[in-house]
Amino acid sequence: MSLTPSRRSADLERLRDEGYDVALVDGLLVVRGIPYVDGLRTVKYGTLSVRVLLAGDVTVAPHRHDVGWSGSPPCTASGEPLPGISTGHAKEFNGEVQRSLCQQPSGREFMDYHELVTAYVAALTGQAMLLDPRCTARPGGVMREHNVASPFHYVDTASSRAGTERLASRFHGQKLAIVGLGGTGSYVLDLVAKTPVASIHLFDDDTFDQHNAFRAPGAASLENLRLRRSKVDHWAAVYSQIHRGIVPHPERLQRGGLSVLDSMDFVFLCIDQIEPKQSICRRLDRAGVRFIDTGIGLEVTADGVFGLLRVTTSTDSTREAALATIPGGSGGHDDPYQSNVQVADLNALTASLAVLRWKRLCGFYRNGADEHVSVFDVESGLVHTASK
Amino acid sequence: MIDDKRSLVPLRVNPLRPAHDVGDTCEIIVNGQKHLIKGSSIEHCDLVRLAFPQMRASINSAVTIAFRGGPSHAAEGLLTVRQRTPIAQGETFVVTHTVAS
Repeated sequence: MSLTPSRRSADLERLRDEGYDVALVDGLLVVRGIPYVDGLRTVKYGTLSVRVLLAGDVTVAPHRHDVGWSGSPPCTASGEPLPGISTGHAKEFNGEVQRSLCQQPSGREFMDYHELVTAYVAALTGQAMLLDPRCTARPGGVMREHNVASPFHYVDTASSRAGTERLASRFHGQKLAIVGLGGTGSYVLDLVAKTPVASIHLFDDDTFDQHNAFRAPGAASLENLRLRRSKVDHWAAVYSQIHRGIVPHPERLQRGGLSVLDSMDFVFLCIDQIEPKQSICRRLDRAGVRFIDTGIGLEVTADGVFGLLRVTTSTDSTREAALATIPGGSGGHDDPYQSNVQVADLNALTASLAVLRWKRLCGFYRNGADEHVSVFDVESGLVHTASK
Repeated sequence: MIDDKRSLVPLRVNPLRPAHDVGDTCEIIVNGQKHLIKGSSIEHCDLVRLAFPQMRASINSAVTIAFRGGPSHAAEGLLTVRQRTPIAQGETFVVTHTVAS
């Protein structure tokens, strides 16, 4: 995160001024070096992790009084369980044992994060000081900015509220590309822009026109439509408000200019021209870059729209099988039956299926299958999948 | 008015149909159109021809096919190029070019 939120929040500023070792990490207020007494009556040091609620860059009053605790169950100086604090079961995550602590000494929620942190420190460190009067939770540190390199302009408090911030770290450092910023590609951007990937490169040479606004996330203003910017510049302007790593490329990717994709960690292909798709698929296969190709095929009839939404995943283990399901992936050309019927909710669903699949590959979601293609049938609501 | 009894029927009930005898004709539905098929199975390219009679064979690979209501051993799924699936009376196939984005 930037320096701004902590400096504009009086409670966090006060903790820092009083000498606590505090940092904001992935939407959590982390307070390190807190002395406490373990079950063997030894003074140890633990870490508190507190979910922080922010309104933009300023904290708002906490709604909860439980915190995360990296340390053993805290005890009194005589080795008894600490009264007034309930301790949750231990969970291990990436080799670190965490449990929750819960106390509400005043019978109400805490007014701010200063009151919350100092209440826990008083309970934990008060016992430790009975054994070692020199120990302190206030070593005189300064607010450590662990997230200076965060891709977000403001702290991701949604992940910390949901307890998924550690899993979200599995996206760190990734360089993504979205090729094609039409209906599906713009929804893919909407979803991946809320993950802490390092950068998201957008490729498209079309302009953002009025019809695009009706199958895209959010609501474009009349002024935005009058600008007639390129799609990538339009979307870069929108999503750069939350993510620092949006990189627009107002160009059509085609043979001779595909090397830019070689350095990507993952590519979402959301284009409808078959010939460039073939070239891109082959290039990504050769470069060993994992990718997802999306495609929608809908027909309009008097009984309603029917058709299929396809998400094909190409990884080292699914390359060949994936290629066989991609239109033009193994040859072929544009054809006269090609339909361009699209509906915003189906664009959004296709994008969601694609991003969900990518998140499973990243380990954010548990990955219980290795399907190379999944297809949603609009008419029946069935999702069909196929694995090698 | 909602029929309470009917609303309790599981949504994914899919009565399994027996595979059709070889040599018989079988009615299948392709993109909402009924077709009588001779034989017990059908291949990807046959379904593409039924759905898009004028399409050149070279672009078969641009077609995605999903089916449901098939015989018990192939009740629903996907069919890719050169694959064949057994058919059942009333089986539904959706055959489209999944290329739009």
